[in-house]
Amino acid sequence: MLNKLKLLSLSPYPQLYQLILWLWAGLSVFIIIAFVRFLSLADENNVTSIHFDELIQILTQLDVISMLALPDFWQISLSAEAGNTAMFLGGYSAISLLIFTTGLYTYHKNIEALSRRQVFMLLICAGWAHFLLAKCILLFSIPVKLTGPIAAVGALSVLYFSLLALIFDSYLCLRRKAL
Amino acid sequence: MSRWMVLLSGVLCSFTSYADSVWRPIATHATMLAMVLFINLVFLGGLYVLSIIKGKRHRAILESQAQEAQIDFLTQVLNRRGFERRIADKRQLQGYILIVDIDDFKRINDEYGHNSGDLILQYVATRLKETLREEDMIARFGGEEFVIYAALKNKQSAEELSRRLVTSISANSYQVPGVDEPLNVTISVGVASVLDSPNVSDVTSRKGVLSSAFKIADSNLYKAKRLGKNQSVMN
Repeated sequence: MLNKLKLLSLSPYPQLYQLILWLWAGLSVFIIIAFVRFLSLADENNVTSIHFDELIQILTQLDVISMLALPDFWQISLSAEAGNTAMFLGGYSAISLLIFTTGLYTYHKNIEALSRRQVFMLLICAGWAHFLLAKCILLFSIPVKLTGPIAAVGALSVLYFSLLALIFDSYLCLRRKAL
Repeated sequence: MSRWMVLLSGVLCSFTSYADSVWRPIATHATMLAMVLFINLVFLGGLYVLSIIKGKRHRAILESQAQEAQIDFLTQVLNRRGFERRIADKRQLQGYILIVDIDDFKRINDEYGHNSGDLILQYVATRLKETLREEDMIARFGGEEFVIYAALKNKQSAEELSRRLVTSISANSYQVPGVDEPLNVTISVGVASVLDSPNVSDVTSRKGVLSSAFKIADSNLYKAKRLGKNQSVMN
């Protein structure tokens, strides 16, 4: 699959396009890691700059912009020891990633060869589509106990899909350099 | 009565709360699974739909390119490949092959240049097409040589057609840009009949029939040239 991918870009500015994709994926990974870490802070009642009810409102509605505006958000530590790593495990996001990559691989092998950048972009878009869908569902009045799992699928899918996109592109980049 | 009602409602309520506690985890898992499947369905379905649209466009381009590959770019009549393809598609071969050659074309090219030669080729092709019927086939086989297949029933019709072709070309002179006087162009035509083979579906026998007709038409063309050009010959 890898050597069949078209390495030439159709974009007139391939390097800029590549940079934007990398920034997008990197930012996605950062935001979701920070979000999950922030969630554990909220869980431990360590957020001081905002009232607890408002915090719950922000978290259950996946309001990333309001979350970024909180001073507590920028105090969190992103180190592996800092938080509960089990919070980064999501079975349904992993299943989604598996289904998506299988579908993409089948498509690439049997229907049309996808370029490296197309795969990268599709992965990031699919990740964020999970997040958007979760946000749309959370806009409806759903049972409170359902908000956590839905938010988790949305957020962790962004993380998994973006991480895979970064790993995949780095591997292809290194492979091309080695050739 | 009212006591029974209270009891019944109590039982129903307890059942509801029991069902709620049992179905809640299932509903949670179902919602998450539905989310995952929905996103994958939308993305992969979208990709497949896009590929179908792209495939259709690609096929249309290929078809138009295949059509273009059978047309002679200069004269806009069929080329040799196109002619052979159309002949191969024909169910019945019975008819006449006419080989048309522009007389002294080399002299036109040498005296007035290749651009003038190309224009003359275009004029002649247009005039020949106008003289033929819709169902007849005309192709440029290369240089100044055209081949016509006409599904005519008898020899008289073929002779008449070949005479008409010769006359249509020689009747008018051709004005070429950059050349003061109009050019007189004539053609020679060699005609041969194509007899329908009993097993016309057999490719080898079909090729044999056509190649013998071509040989006869070609030798008739040379006879026409030897006899003084601007005429047709049919044995």
